[in-house]
Amino acid sequence: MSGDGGPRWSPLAVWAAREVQREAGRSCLLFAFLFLLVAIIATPMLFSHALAVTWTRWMEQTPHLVVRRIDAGGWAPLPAEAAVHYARKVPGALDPTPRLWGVATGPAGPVTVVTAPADLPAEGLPGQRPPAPGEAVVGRAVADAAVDNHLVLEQMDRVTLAIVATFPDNSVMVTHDLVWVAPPDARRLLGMLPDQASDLAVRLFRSESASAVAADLAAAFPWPVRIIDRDTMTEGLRRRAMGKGVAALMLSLPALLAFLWVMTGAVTGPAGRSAYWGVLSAMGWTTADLVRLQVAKALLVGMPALAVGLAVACGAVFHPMAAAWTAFLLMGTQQLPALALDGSGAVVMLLQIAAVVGLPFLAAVFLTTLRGVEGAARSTMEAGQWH
Amino acid sequence: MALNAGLACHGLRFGWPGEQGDDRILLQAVTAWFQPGRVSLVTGATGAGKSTLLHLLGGLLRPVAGEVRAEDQPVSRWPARHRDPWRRRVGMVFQHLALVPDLSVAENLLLPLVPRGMKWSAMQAAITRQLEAVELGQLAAKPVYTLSGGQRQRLAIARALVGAPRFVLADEPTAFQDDRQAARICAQMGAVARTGVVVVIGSHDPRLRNASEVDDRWHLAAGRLTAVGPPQAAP
Repeated sequence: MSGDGGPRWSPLAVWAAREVQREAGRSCLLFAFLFLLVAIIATPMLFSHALAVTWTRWMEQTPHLVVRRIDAGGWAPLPAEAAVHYARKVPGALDPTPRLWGVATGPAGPVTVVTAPADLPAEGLPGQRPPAPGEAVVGRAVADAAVDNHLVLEQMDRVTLAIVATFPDNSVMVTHDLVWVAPPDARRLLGMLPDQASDLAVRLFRSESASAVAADLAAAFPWPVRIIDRDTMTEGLRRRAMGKGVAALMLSLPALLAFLWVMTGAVTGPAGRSAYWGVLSAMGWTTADLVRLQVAKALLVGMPALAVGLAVACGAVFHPMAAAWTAFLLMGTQQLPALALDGSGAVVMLLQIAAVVGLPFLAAVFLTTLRGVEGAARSTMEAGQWH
Repeated sequence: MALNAGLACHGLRFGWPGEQGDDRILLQAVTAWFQPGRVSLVTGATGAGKSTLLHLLGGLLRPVAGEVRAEDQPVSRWPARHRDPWRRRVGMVFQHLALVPDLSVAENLLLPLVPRGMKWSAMQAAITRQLEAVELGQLAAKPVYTLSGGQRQRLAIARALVGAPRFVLADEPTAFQDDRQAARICAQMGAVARTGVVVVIGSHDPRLRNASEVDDRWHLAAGRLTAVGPPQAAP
């Protein structure tokens, strides 16, 4: 207790703190259980959210529209000059740029072959000079599979390349299977003539006009094309990212919440306390007082547990060492994405965790106390530990 | 004095549920008026129902029939949400004390005060005053489990009085006390009653039966409560 000069804490809150200290074992058990549960639930949610944010940021570097020529056999090369000529006729379509890229077979499976810095994420090119003919800059997965720093790729032709550099680790999510080569090597490998391109990248003055410009572009070309817009691709990637962690979480969430309910009831419930609650009731504590006391205790234990659980989840997603294992558990790969989370994303995450764990926890405390308090005074005075 | 003051029971009937489904009637048609400013003593053999009567008066049990009225309010008919806060006006000394053994002496006295929204300084002053009154001032920080039986009983009395109740219901408050402490407790109950408080003591302690502080005497037998004569002179 404190005198007039001391802090004016609500006596109920101070008593709740005293009870947390008094029941140290139960409080520690509840704390450990809650923080583990928060960490288990928050990690996949945070991972998915950060993955979606990161992919969205990378997608912002890509062209608004990509035009690909198709025929009965699927994808077909574009005549580059003609494609640019047709695209320039469409109002709103800016800077049509032919791109040369494709898929080839590498030593450990398919790889993506690119030829221009514009096709690469900014994170993959710090101070990197373009590869000369016979050279390649490769992603982490390709480098690991190479023998003697040389790479053999096959598609329409067989090409042997010397690896001169590797893309940095922080770009691994989009560069891990990437091979950057000189245009002559790419043409040889992919079987493309000098005037041919894989597709046409188009920038827009306003991204909102993507669907309208795409329709005009489709009509402008004299051959069938397929046009992919950035927003659709971003949305698809975002859904894929959210699905990675959230799907697993959704499957286990009912079991986790049931466990939360049972554990909270067991730890904060009336077992061993009915006599005590009866004494309090006999001294004028109302049901509301007892519920407030239990909720205050739950908050005193639950809030730090929530904070620690979220901190552990952040560490599991953003700390380089732990994030590799998290990525392995959730995505089946230890290729480490350098994830990011925006401010609003963090707030949304906090609210989601509070809703998923905090509300059921407080509801369990509330209902368990309400059930335990019922008739406490009578049952306690006539039976129980006092006799 | 107004007739509606104090604590009264009318036609009070109570029984514990029997094993055969029939009720074991402990009190039947108990009618009494416990006046403010007076110490009332309820005597009776062990098992006569003294504790049960005190619990009924204190709103811890509900009668099967009849009612308890406090300052003319039918408290025994009130729902829990009204009766629970009313208990803040009742100071109960339980026969089995019902102290919380792992809490300190001062913390046990704090328990009835916490939900009242009092200032810390006021709570501290009330606790100190009561501990001095029951001669436990030096033991405020000690855990209850380290106290003797007599000290625990005095602590239970202090806890009943710390909230300045309007009704004091004491069940065998001198059972574990030596003669000096029993006399001091009698005097303490008398002093509390003189402030206008209703004091009802349930006991078969002969020292209380003969105490001059006791104003009214009642005897509980065969489920009925009867008033007995004026206090006898101490031998």
